Amino acid sequence: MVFKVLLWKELRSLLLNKGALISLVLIPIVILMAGQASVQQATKVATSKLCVAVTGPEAQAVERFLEMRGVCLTTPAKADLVIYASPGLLENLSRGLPVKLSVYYRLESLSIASLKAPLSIAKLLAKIAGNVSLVTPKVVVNATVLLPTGKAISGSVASMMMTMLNVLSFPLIFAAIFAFAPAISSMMMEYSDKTIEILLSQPVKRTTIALAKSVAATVTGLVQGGVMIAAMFAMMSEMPKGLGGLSLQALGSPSAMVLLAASVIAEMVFAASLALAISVFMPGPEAMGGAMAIIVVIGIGVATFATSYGVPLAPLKALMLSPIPLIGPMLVSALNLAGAVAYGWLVVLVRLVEAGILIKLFARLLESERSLTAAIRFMRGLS
Amino acid sequence: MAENLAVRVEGLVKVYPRGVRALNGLSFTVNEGEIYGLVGPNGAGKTTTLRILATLLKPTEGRVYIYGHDVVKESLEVRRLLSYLPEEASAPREMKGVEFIEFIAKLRYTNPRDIAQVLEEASRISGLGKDLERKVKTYSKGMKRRLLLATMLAVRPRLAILDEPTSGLDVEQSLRIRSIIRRYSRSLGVTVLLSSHNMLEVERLCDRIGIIIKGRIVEEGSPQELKEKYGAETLEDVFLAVTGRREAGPR
Ligand SMILES: Nc1ncnc2c1ncn2[C@@H]1O[C@H](COP(=O)(O)OP(=O)(O)OP(=O)(O)O)[C@@H](O)[C@H]1O
Ligand SMILES: [Mg+2]
Repeated sequence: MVFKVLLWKELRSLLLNKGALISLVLIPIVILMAGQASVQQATKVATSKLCVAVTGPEAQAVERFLEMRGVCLTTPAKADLVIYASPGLLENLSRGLPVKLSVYYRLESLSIASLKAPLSIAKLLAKIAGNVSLVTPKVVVNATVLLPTGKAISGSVASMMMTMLNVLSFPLIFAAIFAFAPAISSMMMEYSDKTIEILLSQPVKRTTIALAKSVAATVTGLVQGGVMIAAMFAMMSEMPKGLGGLSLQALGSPSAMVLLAASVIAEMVFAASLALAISVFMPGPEAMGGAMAIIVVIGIGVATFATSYGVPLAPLKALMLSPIPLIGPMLVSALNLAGAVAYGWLVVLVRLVEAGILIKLFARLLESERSLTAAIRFMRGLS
Repeated sequence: MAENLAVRVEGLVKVYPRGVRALNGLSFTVNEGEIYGLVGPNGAGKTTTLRILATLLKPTEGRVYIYGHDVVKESLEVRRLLSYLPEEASAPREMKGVEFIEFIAKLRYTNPRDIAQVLEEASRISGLGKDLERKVKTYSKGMKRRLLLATMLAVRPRLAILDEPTSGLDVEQSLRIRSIIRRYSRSLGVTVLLSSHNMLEVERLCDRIGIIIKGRIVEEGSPQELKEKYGAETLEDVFLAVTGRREAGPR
């Protein structure tokens, strides 16, 4: 079958070559090694060695309160976290009421392992306040990252990271990025190897070519992303619980895992097809930049926006599920359907339909002379 | 009618996006089994014409029929009939020569015997021998050209469109390829439409020639006819006379 022949050719050039295979082995090793280091660092942070500094109008009272409970106090410059003691904070802390705290990280301590640090800080504060039930829901942590230059990036970086881990969009953003790269390089190789004219003059439907490229990029992304995410899971699951210790079970039921897998695949086919279509307009490395910008800016932007403004997650869940909020998921979210799982599956379905439309669009672009014109421009640029 | 013509081009106009008028009412026909050569100065529109025939570009105006099939409306059907050797092309760098031949063969044939035959024929035509087991990225320019040309002939199209087939080949290889094209055309009835800047090649190889200037065929005929008409000894002189770069007439 012609499709199989094309798919095999694509897979060989994207996945089954020395470079790609070596990186498949190397990347997990690097991640696991980085993991080792950050686990050690994080373990240090997690224990009671965490030293806190307090600033703000009620600093002194809060300091005394913490000191009495055996918390290590220090100056802001040396602190692991700085608490801004706003009026009323002390009262809430001592009564075990919900508190809103600003927690500043120094950039060095924001390692992969401390992605989930807000949780452990919340736990620490719960311990400080002497009320264990204070954990997560009652303590709202606003994190600010202090850059080595002394400048602070405020916002809810920490809660955003939490969201990404807790909501499916974290693996999905990865999924999209992992599918983008092979899709774009598939077209770039056609241009730089000067094979596009030969490919397009073969007796094959453009749709078949488009589908083969999209599926090959998805499979490549699944393998490469899968290996990397598996390595990250392996790394995270080595951490002590409460410190980002992550187990697969924590993600949910088996049916949720099936939904997650389906979402990842749908997102990848979609992202690959989008990247392929983009690469006809922007042949070359700039397609990568364009695609990444769409994914990262829109995807992470939406996630941050939703969480930092406390937008109720239910209607936005579909957006969160997809890093690239195109019409489909927005429509689904507008319908505001109840039931997260049904919701999730609907988004998957919409994504697949969108992917189909994009594959058709890509095929049309190949049929039109645009792809050839782009190739000619690219090849002229090379020589 | 159209059906016994391999190629029928009628009033072809091609205007590129930024307004370059590459073809300007170009018309010609190629009979079945014929070897037809397009010659003309750089930028005359040869590659543009061949790309339109190979369904890669869309004409702005005019019609093209390949064995009676419209290149725009029946592009897939047309691609089944032809194979196209682009002016500047190569095979995927990471593929071995044989793998490329096999890849192209499998896009056309499903029967393993047919595929084996294409492989055998392509390796014979290319003369690459053991080098076919090496990756394309290790090939010289001429080796790549031979690989592509051999593959495009070995798949046995009814129409082979060859854009400057022997460019980049040394004298010996050019001679060999020319004789192969000729033999192929004669024994299998393959129609060949090629472009070239080598007048000697065109004279030896082509049954008919079209001289194309600024997107129009300005002169057409067999090499002999053209030489007689211009009283020229060589086709080169005819070419120079027609393109007006030199005074017409014999030396
Ligand atoms: N992709 C393109 N975009 C814009 N103009 C183009 C494009 N391709 C070709 N042209 C222009 O169209 C005209 C015809 O070009 P074409 O490549 O068909 O000539 P040619 O006869 O094959 O020349 P050569 O002998 O140099 O190969 C030229 O003026 C060229 O600049
Ligand atoms: Mg040309």
